[in-house]
Amino acid sequence: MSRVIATRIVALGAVAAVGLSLSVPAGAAAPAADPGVSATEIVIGTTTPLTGPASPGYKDIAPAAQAYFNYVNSKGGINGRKIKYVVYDDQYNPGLTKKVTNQLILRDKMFALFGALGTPTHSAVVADLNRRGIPDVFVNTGGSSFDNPRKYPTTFPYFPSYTVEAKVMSYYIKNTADLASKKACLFYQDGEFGEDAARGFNAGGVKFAETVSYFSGSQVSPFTAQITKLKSAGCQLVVFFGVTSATAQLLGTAARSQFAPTWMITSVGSDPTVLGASLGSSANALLKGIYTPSWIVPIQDTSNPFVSQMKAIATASGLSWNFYTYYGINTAYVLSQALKAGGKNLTRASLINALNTKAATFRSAAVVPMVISKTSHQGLTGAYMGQYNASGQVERLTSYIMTATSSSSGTAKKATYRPGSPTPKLLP
Amino acid sequence: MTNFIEYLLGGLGSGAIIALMALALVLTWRATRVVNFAQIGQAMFTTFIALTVQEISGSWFVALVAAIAAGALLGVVVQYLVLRPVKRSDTSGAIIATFGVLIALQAAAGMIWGGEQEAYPQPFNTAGISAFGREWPISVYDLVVIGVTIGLVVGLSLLFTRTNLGLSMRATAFNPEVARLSGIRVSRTLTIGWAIAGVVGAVAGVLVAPISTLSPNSFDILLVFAFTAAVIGGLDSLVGAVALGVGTGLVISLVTGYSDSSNAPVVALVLLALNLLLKPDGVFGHTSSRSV
Repeated sequence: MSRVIATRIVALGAVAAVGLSLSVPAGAAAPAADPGVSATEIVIGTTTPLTGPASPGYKDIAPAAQAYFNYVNSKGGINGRKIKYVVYDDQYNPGLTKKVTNQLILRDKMFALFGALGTPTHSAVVADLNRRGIPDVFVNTGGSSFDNPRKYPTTFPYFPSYTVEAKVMSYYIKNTADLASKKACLFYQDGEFGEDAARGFNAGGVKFAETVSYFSGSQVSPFTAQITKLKSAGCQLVVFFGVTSATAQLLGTAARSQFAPTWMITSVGSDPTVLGASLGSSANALLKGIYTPSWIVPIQDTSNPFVSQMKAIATASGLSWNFYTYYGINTAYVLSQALKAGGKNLTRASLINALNTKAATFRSAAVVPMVISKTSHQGLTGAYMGQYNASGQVERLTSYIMTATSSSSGTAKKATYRPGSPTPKLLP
Repeated sequence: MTNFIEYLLGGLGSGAIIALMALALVLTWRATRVVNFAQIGQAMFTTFIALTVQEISGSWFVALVAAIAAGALLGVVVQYLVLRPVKRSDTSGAIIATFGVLIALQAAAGMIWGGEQEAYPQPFNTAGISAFGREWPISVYDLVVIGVTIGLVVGLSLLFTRTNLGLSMRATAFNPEVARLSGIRVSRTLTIGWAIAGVVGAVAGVLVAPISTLSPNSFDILLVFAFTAAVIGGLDSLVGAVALGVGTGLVISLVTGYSDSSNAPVVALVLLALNLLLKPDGVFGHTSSRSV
């Protein structure tokens, strides 16, 4: 009953608002037509696992983005507008994602969705967001299906797709004598995550002697049978595509089985802080020497002006400084620049236009180029190869980067890229 | 062939842990005719308590004792505060209530200890044993787990068949009305049943954590397999729960080894469905001991 009344009030309000906007004389500043943006506020929504099996690590992203938005708001906001950031926990459950995304659209009247996390979760809502023309900015997944401007013109991935990463790994393996001579095997999480990776390795020309998988959610039980399989196949180099919680289980089980191949692990599955907590005291010994591609300045490199300023923002908000905090602040920083580029008269269309045309000018801690245009929403396009050192940190191994596309053919290419320096005070 | 033996050995350790969890489910079923889905949450919660005690005391054994005490206490609390009031109305309501307890415990653990995965220290050597000139995927630790499982089954069987408490628990489960008329304090007996189940679950939690990781959701998958084992085993039989628990561990290991890990839950589901179709009272169950 109360909902009916509320709907009526909203309807009356809408009628009144339409009446008011019609009565505004021509020439006066027209109020923004899109939901979630006013002269003083922009409503940004996100869906992310704050609890549940997928939450370790990932739950730190949204609070970090909030810390950055608070910082921007305290300095006057973006073109005079403060950011209101609405975060919902979807527990990495697509059914829940659908529900909370609807809340964001209908109740919170968000202007744009930012950093929605996960491939299966986001697949449940991406068509609806695009149908409604809601900007869907910097999806937190490497699922390559979201880079499809014809089908999803309002959706913008951020970090390199798993296909790109697999191509980068392939290039590095084939061009490093020590790795190319090893018997290579693949261990992946089933579903689109693993399939995207497999496509990249096919295109990149790396053949695996054995492939094994685990199903999402089973990473909490030991991978004994998988390790036995890899071991008996005589694998010397094991490439792993899975989430960080699975990496921890993999390394732990392998150590117990005294299986010690050379490991190469996807960037989304290799956060040192989370791995350290999961692996306990033996973490650094287990991690040392593992290869992992990365596209961002190493987190411990505090001489870098991006890292030092982002770390300061995190610490000032009482957040622990880990990869996910770093990542959350970094993407919030890029989004803020896009919102600013959307102009004083910010609309959904102007934000999308800014992303499509000005992405190359956005600054961030990423060290690979960002490619966004009307015909490609690829986002970040490559990676460098990194390696864990004895203190459990990823160090940059290659001074060059390797770039690739998400298509099912073509290999990665060696490239150099000089990223821009931060904007003053890291404000958009 | 060597691989076959390796998969079997590799499945034994995890099978023993599934067996322990299935055992806990069977115990609550025997006591109150309720499948306690919160069992896994109770085990997770007591394992977090054990981890805290371990960090303070530095002793794995003290932590185990703490987990056992907490397990008994939590079993009593859940039975007393949630099950008793709900069970008065109906059984299906009680089963739903255990789901509620599970969610509450997972949320509480997240609030107290955080949602991160924690490493649980390994008390015994978890490296594979070397014998016959090679190394096998079974460790001293796995043998300890198997030993504890066998010990608990034997102990519980003796409790049920040789003691007055065991007799009153069986009588209460069989027919509460008649048991009450015979002078058995039925509700207290039920509470004791839950306490014992809580202890078994707590032991399972402390044993599984070192070879897994500990987070509010890390035992969820264990519940799926333990439930399968308990139901196929007949829900009423201690030996059935253990045999099917170990069997489930072996099947998962073999399916993962020979085909693909994503087929393991499917195979578990198919076995469960076949069992319910062909022998609905379970392989080790007595007729009409349950209706699913």
